[in-house]
Amino acid sequence: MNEPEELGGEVHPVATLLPWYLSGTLKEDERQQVVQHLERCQACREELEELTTLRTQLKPVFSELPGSSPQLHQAVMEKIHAQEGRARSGAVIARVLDSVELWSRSLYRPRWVPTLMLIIVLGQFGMLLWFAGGQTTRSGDGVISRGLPAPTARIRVAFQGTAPEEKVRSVIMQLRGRIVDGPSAEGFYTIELSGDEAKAVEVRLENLRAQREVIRAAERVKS
Amino acid sequence: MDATNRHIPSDDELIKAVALGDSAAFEHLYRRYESRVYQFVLALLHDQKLAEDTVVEVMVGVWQGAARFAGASRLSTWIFGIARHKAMDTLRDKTRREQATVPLEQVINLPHLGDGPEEMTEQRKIEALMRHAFAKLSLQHQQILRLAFHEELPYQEIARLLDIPVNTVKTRVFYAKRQLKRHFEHIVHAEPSK
Repeated sequence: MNEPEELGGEVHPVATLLPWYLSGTLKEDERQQVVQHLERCQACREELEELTTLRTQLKPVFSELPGSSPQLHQAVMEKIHAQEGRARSGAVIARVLDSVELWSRSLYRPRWVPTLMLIIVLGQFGMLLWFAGGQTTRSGDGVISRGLPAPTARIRVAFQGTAPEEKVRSVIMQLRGRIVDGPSAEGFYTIELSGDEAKAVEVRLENLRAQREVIRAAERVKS
Repeated sequence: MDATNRHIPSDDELIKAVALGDSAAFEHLYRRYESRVYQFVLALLHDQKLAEDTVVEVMVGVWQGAARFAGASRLSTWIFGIARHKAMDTLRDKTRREQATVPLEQVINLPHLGDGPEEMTEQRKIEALMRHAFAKLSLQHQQILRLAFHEELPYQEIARLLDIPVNTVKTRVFYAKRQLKRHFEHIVHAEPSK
């Protein structure tokens, strides 16, 4: 197009607003400007009259262009319904994914997760303390032993001075205990029994006392 | 419901419903704009088949893009903007420059001025002359007169739609009108007197 983009000096700038003054789409201040100008400008009043006539004459030109075929509506709506179907199936998948996402997000919600984590940590700490505390025992000889404490019992045994050494060793072996103290001034050995031997400590003491040629005295140590 | 009391949805209401995937609202919007968009595209392409194919693309574009319509302009400006871009794409893609320059007379089936004008009323005669005069305008002049006089879009929206300065819109309408008047007078004077 070779038309100038600026109007010649003979054309009032307000004249370029007249088409929109006619269609009523000017802003109020522009409309007022046009009204005031038209009151004193004969040329622009004539221009407005021409535009009004032209506008009327153009109406049938615009409205009598050939219309579209009936197939156009069908073609458009088929495309839209096809897209709608795809969007609907996509929406179902999206809804499922959203639900999964929502559920997984709830796992990270700070409302109860810290509480759960604290309970887990405290529980683990408590179990650690329970195991550590329960398994550690300090025996009378200062030995720290680990594991569940086995039942123990201590007895004091004094041997006859005339008892042969083999007999003394045989008795101690039969007891399956260990000498933890002795001999005392009175000649007593303290023997610790554990496990089944400890449970049957009274029976053991009776057996020992029955062996008079070897055992001078046998008694339980009060804990 | 009584038809006289039926609510006629505004453009704004319709496009919001379309944005939510309401196909019934879309059909309503389609019927409101179909003819205007088709004629706008036809005036650019001068090919009825191409124009219809383009309108399908425009309307699918409206359906898909409804959620993106921010309401910064009139809905019609937005739709015509899509139509213009699609029509330009069609022209480029199909490389049908020859068709684009086919005179509008071949498309709109103008009455023959020499054939029995006495059978026409004076009004019909003027209309026929005006159609011929309008068809002689350049594509840009036809387009801007359509947007200003038929679509009655504010000049700011025409500027946005055509991506040109507002002053260019004003001067282009002014010169298009002047050119149309010249063509009209030329045809009137060239018409064989009876």
